[in-house]
Amino acid sequence: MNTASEAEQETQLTRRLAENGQVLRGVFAGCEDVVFHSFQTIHRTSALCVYCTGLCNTERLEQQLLAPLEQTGLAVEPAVEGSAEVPVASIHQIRTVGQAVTAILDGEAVLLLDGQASGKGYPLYKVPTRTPEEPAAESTVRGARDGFTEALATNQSLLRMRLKTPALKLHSNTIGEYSHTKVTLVYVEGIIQPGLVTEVNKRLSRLNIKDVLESQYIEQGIIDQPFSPFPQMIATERPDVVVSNLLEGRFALLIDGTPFSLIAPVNMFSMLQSPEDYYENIYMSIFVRWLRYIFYALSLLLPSAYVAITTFHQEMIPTVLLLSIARAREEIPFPALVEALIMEIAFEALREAGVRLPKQIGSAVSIVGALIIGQAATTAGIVSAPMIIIVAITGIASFMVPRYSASIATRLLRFPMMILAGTMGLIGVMLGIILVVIHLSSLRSFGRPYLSPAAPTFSKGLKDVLWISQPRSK
Amino acid sequence: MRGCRVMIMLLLSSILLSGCWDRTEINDLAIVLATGVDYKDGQAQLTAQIFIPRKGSGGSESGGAGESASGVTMTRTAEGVNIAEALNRLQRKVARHMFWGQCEVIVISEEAGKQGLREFVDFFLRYPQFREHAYIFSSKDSAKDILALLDPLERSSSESLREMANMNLGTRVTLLELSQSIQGASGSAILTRILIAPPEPNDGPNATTPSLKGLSLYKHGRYSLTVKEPVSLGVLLMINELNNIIMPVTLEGEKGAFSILSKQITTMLKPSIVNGEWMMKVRIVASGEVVLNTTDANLTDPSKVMALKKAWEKRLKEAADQALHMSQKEQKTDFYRFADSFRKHYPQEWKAKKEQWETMYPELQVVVSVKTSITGNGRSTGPQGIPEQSAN
Repeated sequence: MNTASEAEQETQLTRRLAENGQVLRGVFAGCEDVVFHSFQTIHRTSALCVYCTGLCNTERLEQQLLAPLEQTGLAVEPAVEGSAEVPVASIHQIRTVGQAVTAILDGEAVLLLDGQASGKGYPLYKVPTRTPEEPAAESTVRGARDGFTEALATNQSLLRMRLKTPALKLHSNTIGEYSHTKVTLVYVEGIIQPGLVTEVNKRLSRLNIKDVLESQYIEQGIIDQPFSPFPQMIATERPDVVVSNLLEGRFALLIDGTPFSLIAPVNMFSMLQSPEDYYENIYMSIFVRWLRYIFYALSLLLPSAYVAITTFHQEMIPTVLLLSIARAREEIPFPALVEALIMEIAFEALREAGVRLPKQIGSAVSIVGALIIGQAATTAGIVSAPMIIIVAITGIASFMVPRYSASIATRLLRFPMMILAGTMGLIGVMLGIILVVIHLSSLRSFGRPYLSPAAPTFSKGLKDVLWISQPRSK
Repeated sequence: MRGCRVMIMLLLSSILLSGCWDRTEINDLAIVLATGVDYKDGQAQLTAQIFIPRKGSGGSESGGAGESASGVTMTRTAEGVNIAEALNRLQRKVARHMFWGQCEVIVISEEAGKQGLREFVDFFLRYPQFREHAYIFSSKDSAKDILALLDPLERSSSESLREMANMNLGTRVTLLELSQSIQGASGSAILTRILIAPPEPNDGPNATTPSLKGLSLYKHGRYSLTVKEPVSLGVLLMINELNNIIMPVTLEGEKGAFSILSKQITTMLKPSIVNGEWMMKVRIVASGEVVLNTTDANLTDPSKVMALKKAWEKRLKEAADQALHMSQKEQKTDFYRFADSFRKHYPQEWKAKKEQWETMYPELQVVVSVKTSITGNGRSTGPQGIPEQSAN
């Protein structure tokens, strides 16, 4: 709490309403959206209702709380606790100033009565929210169409809807010095590995940040190695993905204010799996999954392999192909490495430009980019056609990765790989691969090896990597 | 993040190395598609067929300008005391790095073959760039002229030669096989021989294809003679390389002849030493299909098929015997590598008699047995073009 000091937070509410009112007014000085509504109940008791206009449902406040108190006289007998007459669910006692402030900022209406040392919080929330829509970043052909929203309560209900069992546990933490964001830890008791929940809670409590605007804020703070380009948690908008992972023994973090939830512990291969793998015909899914593995490797290695082979190992290219490449490259002024770097950087720039622009202009950018890079650059003899093909395939390969964050690693590592390839040939590429593998095998996601089921090998998990195990048959 | 820092350092330091080291862009290469070896005036002559990348570029732009796929290669020749020196001099005539890694065809003229193949084979296998599985041909004319051909059909004459080798029209010997062959116990080698097909009257002198005709036989790594059909068929048969051949077969008591397209011909060598008596059994198994019938015989008659099989067997046996006669009696050279199979099957006996092999070979008893089968009589049954009744 920034405005109220620690001491103020712990201050007990007093029996005098005027005093309590003054303290709260002091705390909320300059907060226009916090309303102090003073009135007299039918029993002539002075009362103060404090709420936040945007977050509190004023209609319900008037009908269900203020009207009964002021007019009809259903009335709250000051001494009576519980106030059953007011038809509002989950009313709770407020004893300190700190509690009152938290309740008001959460969207509750806080009622203070003269002569009582405790107030009551009425949760009459009206959180601005939208209805669940299909997640734009993770669409599927076949599968659930609902996605998480920014409202935590909606997200929790989407999960509960799918797992109607008391074993599904939700546990909230509040994180962020200013934002007071609710972060809910979700897991299925009995399936999650023991000890993981305490570990996550420990890491969450160690977090010391001002605000949580996106799940990345949390992820960055709690993962094992924040400096790795490889993602150690899955970020997803889809409740079915979360449920599926919960049942595989992972936990999820739902974060208020963002539709992205985090899943951990993950491994390399779960990054390359899509929820659709289990929704479609099994042979198709196996085929697509392997295609993804291959293209994931290509998205890292293809440009560097091309550079290495064309500048150092020409004898490795089939003769006819070499002649075609030689013809295409004849007029090109740049070495293959420079050519590759130019194209890859141009491609990344094009991609970034397309992401930021409004949808209508975005497509125009990609058309212009494709025309300029694909057509004009080759005709002008600045870039060779085979290089365009290589860059295009690499681009497609990086789009094939179902988790956006997983493709970031290969997009970044591609550049050092190309430089290694351009200076040392395939030996350089091998060196790069070895470094990446060393890094990956030392990586842990919440204590679990990042390359597990493959290394360390355990055959039961490997089955789901090499082909597809039937979805959780018992 | 010490690992991270080490990695970055490594990557940064490697940038300093770029630009030097052994980087060669494709633009700086003279890609050699075929190599020719000649011998003239006591000097080795090396010819390289080099791909010209510019000529072939922009196929779509020149669209229909009448330029054929040919004309994308050039040849350069250099002489030297030996082939290594010739190669060194050749580089001085070409403005780009000579790149031999894609050379898939090596042509050695018979003239150069007379000097001994060993020098060339040693060089090609020792020099780092040459491919071990480049095809080797021998040529009657100078290898230089063959490489200068601009095949109207293919991209280059090397491409035509490679395709011809792949079709199994000749012996299809790679560099590695040639070296094993001349280093083997018999020390002989057989190469396909190429000629230049005479160009069509309207075309230029180089606008023609190389053609395969006959075989060049090498004894102790030196060219000894050329065989042409029909002996060359027998030679191919003996070394199990006879493929895609249509053989005419006559039937006794019938006017006209059959032609049989071989589907598969397998030759197996079975050496045997019984009581110190060395003997070679040659077993030939052939199957084929009738493609031409100028006789009146109807092949739906099994007895005719039997007779035809016998006749074809006889024909194949004659071919094999002819080739054996040439090898044993005329040349007294073990072209068919009998020595290798004896060495494999009877290593002890071979060791003892190794020195006498040259004298033993011409007197060696060779038994040829042939088994054939006619798997089909083509798309027609009876003889075509004659009235139904008279066929029989």
